[in-house]
Amino acid sequence: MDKPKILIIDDDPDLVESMQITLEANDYQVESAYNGTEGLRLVKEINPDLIILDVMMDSITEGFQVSYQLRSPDPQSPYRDYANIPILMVTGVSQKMHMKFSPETDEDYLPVDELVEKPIQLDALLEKVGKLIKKG
Amino acid sequence: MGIDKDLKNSLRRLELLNQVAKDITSTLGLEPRLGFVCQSIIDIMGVKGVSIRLLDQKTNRLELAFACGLSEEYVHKGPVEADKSLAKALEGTPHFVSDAPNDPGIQYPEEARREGLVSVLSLPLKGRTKVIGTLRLYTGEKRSFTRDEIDFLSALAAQGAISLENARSYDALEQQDKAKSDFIMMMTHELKAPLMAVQGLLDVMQKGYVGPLTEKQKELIGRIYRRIDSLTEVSTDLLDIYEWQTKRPDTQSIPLSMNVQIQRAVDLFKTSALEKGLAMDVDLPDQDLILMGSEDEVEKILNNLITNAIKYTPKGGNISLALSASGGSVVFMIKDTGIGINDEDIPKVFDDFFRSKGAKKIDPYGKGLGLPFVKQIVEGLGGTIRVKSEEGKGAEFILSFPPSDGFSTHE
Repeated sequence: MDKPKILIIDDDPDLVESMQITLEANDYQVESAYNGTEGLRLVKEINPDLIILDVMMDSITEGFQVSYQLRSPDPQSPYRDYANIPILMVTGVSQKMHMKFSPETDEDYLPVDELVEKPIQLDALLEKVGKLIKKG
Repeated sequence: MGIDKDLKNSLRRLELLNQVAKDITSTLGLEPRLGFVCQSIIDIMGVKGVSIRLLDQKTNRLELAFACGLSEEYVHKGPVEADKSLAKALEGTPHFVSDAPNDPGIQYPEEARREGLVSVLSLPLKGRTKVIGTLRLYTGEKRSFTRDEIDFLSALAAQGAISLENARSYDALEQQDKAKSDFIMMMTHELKAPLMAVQGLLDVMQKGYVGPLTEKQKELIGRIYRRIDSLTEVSTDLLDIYEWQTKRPDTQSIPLSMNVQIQRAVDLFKTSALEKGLAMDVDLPDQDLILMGSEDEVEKILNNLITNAIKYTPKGGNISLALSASGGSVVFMIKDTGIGINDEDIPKVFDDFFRSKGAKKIDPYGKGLGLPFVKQIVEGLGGTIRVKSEEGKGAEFILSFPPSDGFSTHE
């Protein structure tokens, strides 16, 4: 069986690198994009098994916008075929900005499956990735 | 009938003066207040229009703050130079022009004619130290103003000027606060993002994903982690302090059992004290002692003081906490057998960024933000904090919260 494919959408190349090395060392294939637009393009191109998505990129809510586009309920959405790809959101802001967007309590609000707080603990990342890919 | 009307008018004047005087301490809605004052003047004085202009020190122009009874076109006729028509008023005395369209001192005579304005009375808005602008009354017919009327308007302008100054300094403060908060949020993010990236890369190396590490490399990476941790801690502390300062006015105070709060903090830190070889004992009264505050604040106070006690008390030492009621006050004490503070440093421990030599020896990376923050919170809750210490023998922090409306004790 092919290695599961993960797409990382994050504008910090060093964070991408550390996640990528870790995931590749644990038998995942990894592609990366440094902004939302490029990320959405890659979603269609490679049809990943999981998307790791940063919140703050060019704008402080770019990650949210990407998730809304991917999970759009609109039947005409260009991403309707990709709406079931699990999304793991990486954030440094939820605690400090007091935004309540944990997937358990605000599912209608933020359409992601899991949340990882920065700084990312690599073991926790691996565990969540494993869980989501099995589920997906 | 004439006397009755005069009386009514006098009463309205007094009411308006009273209203403006009250507004001096108000911080809300400058616009509606100015609107009210302008309209009241039109009604009481029977004039056509009123404008309030404020002096811009940089351009030496009078910028419109509010106008009523005048057309948009007239109000925005062009820049109003302070040195032309309003020079007298800006010197601090009322200035009267009986026939504006034909007065050589008027900056826009043609516009005044078109607007149907004839007589113009300009009064200075005298702030605390200087004239800050003018109050102008425009009539549609040639008329003069009595001494009485001018006295009333001068009094009104004096009150109004102070109210305006207050409103402006309040706005300026608000803007400064906003700028400060934006800056701190941005700095914290800008600091934390690279730190997290560095930490991620170090994690990858430490896990051996990019090859095995020598012992020396592992040791160096450990050191880098410690430096990153201390930087992260500072930015978190700064953000905490900032958040507390901005949120404080909105924080809901609830009755908190200090017994419960202290026990919870002790439970949280017991393990780390034991791991360091420290004994920790706590003496709580049977009766619940209540403090009005927020859990978050009390937690910050206790966590800071206990963390310090653990940090600065060498192995084999002792930390004791005690809660008591004394003369109606709730008194909390935390005492350790640590390094203590020398006499010279005692008055400085609550100063921002101050660190004693002894503290630096134990933790070279601390930033001296904890105790000043604790003091701010304690004082915010209406309490006091003081410290007793003998160098080498330990330190004792005594917090006292006086009885307040919300203070009570219950079984």
